[in-house]
Amino acid sequence: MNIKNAGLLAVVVALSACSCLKSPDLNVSPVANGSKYGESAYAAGQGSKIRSAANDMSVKEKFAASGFDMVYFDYDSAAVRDDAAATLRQFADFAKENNVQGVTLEGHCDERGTREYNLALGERRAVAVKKYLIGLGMDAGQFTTISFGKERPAMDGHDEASWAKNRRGVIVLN
Amino acid sequence: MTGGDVWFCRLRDLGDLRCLLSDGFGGSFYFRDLWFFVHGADMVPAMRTFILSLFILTASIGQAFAAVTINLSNPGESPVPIAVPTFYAVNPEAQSYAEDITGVVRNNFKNSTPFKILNEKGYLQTPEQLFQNGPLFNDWRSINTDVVLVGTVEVINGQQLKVDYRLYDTQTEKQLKGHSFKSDLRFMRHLAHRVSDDVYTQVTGEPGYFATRIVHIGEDKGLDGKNQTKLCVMDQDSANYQCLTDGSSLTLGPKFNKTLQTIIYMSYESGTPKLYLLDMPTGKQTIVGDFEGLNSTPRFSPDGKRVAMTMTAGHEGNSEIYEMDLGSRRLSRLTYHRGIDTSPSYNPEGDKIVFNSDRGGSPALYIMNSDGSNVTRLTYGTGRYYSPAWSPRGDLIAFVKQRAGVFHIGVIDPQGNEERLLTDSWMDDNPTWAPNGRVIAFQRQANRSDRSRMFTIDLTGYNLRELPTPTNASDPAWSPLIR
Repeated sequence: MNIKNAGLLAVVVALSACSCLKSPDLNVSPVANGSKYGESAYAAGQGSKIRSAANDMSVKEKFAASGFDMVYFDYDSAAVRDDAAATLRQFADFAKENNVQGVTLEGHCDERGTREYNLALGERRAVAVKKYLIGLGMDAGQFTTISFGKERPAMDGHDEASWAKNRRGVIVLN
Repeated sequence: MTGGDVWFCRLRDLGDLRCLLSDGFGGSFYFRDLWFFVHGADMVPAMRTFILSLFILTASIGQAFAAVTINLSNPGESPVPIAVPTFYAVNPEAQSYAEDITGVVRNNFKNSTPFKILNEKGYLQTPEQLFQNGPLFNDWRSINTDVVLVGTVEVINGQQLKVDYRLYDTQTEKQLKGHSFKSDLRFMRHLAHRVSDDVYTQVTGEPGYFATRIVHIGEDKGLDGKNQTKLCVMDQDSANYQCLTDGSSLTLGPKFNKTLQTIIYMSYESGTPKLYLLDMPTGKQTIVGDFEGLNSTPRFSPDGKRVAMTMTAGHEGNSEIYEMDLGSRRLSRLTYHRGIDTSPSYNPEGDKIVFNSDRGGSPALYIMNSDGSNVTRLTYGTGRYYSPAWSPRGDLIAFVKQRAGVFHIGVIDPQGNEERLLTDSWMDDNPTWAPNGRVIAFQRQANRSDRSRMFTIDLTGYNLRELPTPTNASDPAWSPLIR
């Protein structure tokens, strides 16, 4: 990935994604949007995670065996590294061949930072992966991003080797 | 109690000593400076509830003289030697209460910087002698006591607890302060904290912080081996520990509002991170932040009417700070920058916000007006700054600093001067202030370990103490003073 494309990608993403975003910039009151915001009216399972279509079990199994569901980041960075770019290209090819629909992109961080800052950094990483995949021709509408900050480490260790594995983006088929 | 003013409160169950302040019932909280309305909270609707009336009577006893004082701003100041003889039980059924209350008060002073509590084995007068004859000041001076706290406890009709105390200066042989409290038996610990706060205020000239609670995240491994995060509350001395959620979903960053009636927090309960308000009296949960992407770091404004939060919706993964008016649920965007903006914290007036941003190249602290205008950088030191918390006194901002692999809790004044680091460890995070702005609680992860606990440290950098909790604990947020 070259970062130079990022600006263009951002425009593409903004155009394609705006219809499904509830933009807080409009200064509208969410209360007016419907009963979902009323007291206790929230029903579990209506989260935005279920926005996209689910994938076939067989596709999921094939993907699980693929080994390109994970990319890694440098410390306090959301830039897509060369090794990560190669993985994402593999995934984009897989997605095309298998007609993948509905992808959740998770952003994770190592433990060497505060909880709150890492929540923001994780979202940035998830979106960096999303932008890269859109740049490879994937449909923006099928992606959901979620940050887990440093709360869900892949490795339990407290050393640089573990942290390097925990600074990651994870691709999950819905 | 004067004519017809009956206050109601709801308690969760008999064993519950949760004693929360409300201004949500019947308007004014204070009634001729004598009557206090205190109510507990029923947090889970399924639990049995009942209603009882409760009041705490307070009345001054005798004259006050200001003689013994300590200046808290001077780190070299010696603590005030204080004696706390066991409170005298006026009737037999008060005996265990008297012992318990004395224990709570002694423990408060033991953990608190301004006091040095003298061992009761050296006391020459028995509680009974004190009750009958008053303090023999020669005796107390002979064991180098500057102040002696003398208390009595009485159980009335098997239902109410009456606690009287008198604080004496052994040098001037005068009473510094005296007061009488009365309330339901189950608020025994609260009464002990009220006495402790009175003594603290008399000796230091500053508000106390003992009648407070700390909301936080309790962390544990579930039966499936997975990490569980629960929304938990406890008194500042770790008593009345209770978790309000079952830990099945990732839950982070709870904060009390100013009346302790509402907790706002972040949860992945629905699958994605959203912000929830928990109304303590009813147990009702309401979603307030449910936008695409991240909804995190909720903070009540000091008046409780607004919430500052971090969101990424519409910004392609870029976190920005917003403010929501809780009445109208209207949102205002406060930050406009491609960098990460997060961890907002209001000043006591509610007209300024300090926050964390990497817009300058690495994480640092910035201050803006609460409408988002006039952003200025606060920290320029080497290292990375995070998680600012504006003191309730307004005079300092606490923060986390990461430098050369070490994490610190530090403080800096709002002009960006006088930076001081109070701690250093492998990982410190989430500082929060006691309501008097003298003590900071934070979480600490032990060196290359899964162990995480909450600690307190005095603003002077002395008196580091672990807050005992049954499990790992994080994200402490100190409540305002409960009155």
